[in-house]
Amino acid sequence: MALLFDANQISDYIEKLSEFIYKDLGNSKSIALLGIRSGGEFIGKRLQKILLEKGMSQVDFGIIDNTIYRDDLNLMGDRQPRIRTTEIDFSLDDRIVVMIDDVLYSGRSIRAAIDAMMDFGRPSMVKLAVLFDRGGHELPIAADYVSEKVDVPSGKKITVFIEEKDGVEKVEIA
Amino acid sequence: MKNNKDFIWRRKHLLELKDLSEAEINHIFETADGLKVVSQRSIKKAPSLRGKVIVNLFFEDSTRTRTSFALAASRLSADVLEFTAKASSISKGETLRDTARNIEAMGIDTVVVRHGAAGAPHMLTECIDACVINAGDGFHEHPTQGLLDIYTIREMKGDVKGKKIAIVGDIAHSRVARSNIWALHTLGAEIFLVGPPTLMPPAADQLPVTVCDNFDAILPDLDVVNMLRIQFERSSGATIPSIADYAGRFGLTENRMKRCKPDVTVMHPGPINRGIEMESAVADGPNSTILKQVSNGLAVRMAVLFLVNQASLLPPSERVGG
Repeated sequence: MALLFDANQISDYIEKLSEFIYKDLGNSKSIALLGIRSGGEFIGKRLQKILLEKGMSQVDFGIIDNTIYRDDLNLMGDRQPRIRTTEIDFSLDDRIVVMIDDVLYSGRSIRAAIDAMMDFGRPSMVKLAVLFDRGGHELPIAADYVSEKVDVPSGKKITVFIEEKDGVEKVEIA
Repeated sequence: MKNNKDFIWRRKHLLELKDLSEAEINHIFETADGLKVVSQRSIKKAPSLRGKVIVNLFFEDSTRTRTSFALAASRLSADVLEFTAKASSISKGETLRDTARNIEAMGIDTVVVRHGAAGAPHMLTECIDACVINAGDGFHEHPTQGLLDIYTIREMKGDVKGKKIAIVGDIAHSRVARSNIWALHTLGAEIFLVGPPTLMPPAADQLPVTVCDNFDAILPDLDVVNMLRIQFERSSGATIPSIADYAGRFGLTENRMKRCKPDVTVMHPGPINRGIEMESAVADGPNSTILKQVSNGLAVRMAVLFLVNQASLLPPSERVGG
């Protein structure tokens, strides 16, 4: 296990992501953030707070679970998926939606999240914001906002620990 | 109780609740929590069981359970085959075993079976490779009904532990009662069986329950009242003096509701004999969760279908119960 970033750096990266989103969408009447469980949910919640503090008038926040849309459900064996709740208490129809995740890797998780989201409504626009893009994309999916590109050797995993979820804040490679 | 995030569901079959641990029951509920939203949005479909084939193999009449399983499978994008004994080769003398094996030969993944003989679902697990879900076998158990009842209690009351729950009526002939008893016991509820002695199971004293034939006496203490129908079709001979006598002593009336806690939860697995075990005003009243039980049944059955199929992907040595 090697420490890549500490809590202060994570905080800076989240702030950087908020600046990208604000620069692009700050003049929009309202946007909706969807945190992808579980990496994106708490990052998304923080982004909501920051964007509102920056002066955006309406930033709705929801959490989306993509488990039942995964393309590897029949291949997981004893790495069984755990279905968790999706919490979206507003309409997605005609909304600008920004999906939030911690790490972009193959793109399959994002694909599943997009399919899950589309069954809730029809946004007018969908953007993707990630803290880290480690490359190795297996699908033609790219993030619109990326805090940092990280070079992670194949076979290694990058894990983002968030205080609200893990009790500690850091990024590790193992 | 929150499950460990690494919990693995290991049962390819769901035959009874008697053997399920608290962690297993909670895992079904957490999975149902996550799947409930599929039925609440405009596109009531998710692809999780796409390409899977589920067979409803019903040898007894059913409205709710059969429809609920078919819809649950459909919501998860599985293909559903409906089989009724009356319109099948069963009428020509084909055995249950041969029926199931012939259907399996067409390529199926899960069998949902309801049969008049206790143990029939278990027997099926020994002669087919598909997942088997018991939808009610004789007087034995009706696992998904028990689960949805308790899922509903959990929704209404939070933790089941310590809650006083009465099951009232024809306990002797009720597989629903048995499933409820085992799972409620596992989760730490205090269970009361209420009814005339003639409708109590012979070995009721060996169950983790308190048996009571005075409904009025315990009403004020109850958090949940689960009313059962007299199963005339399953009983032989007279078990009650008259329907009027039974309704007078054990029917849940508006007057009896006045003696209950204001937030008591009133349940019934259906079908209801209005005016016998329950007055219409109570069945349709603010404390009734009868329709909620039906909608929760969909989420619970989606969860069970998903989980047994996930368990079927495990090597046999890592599974529980075959």
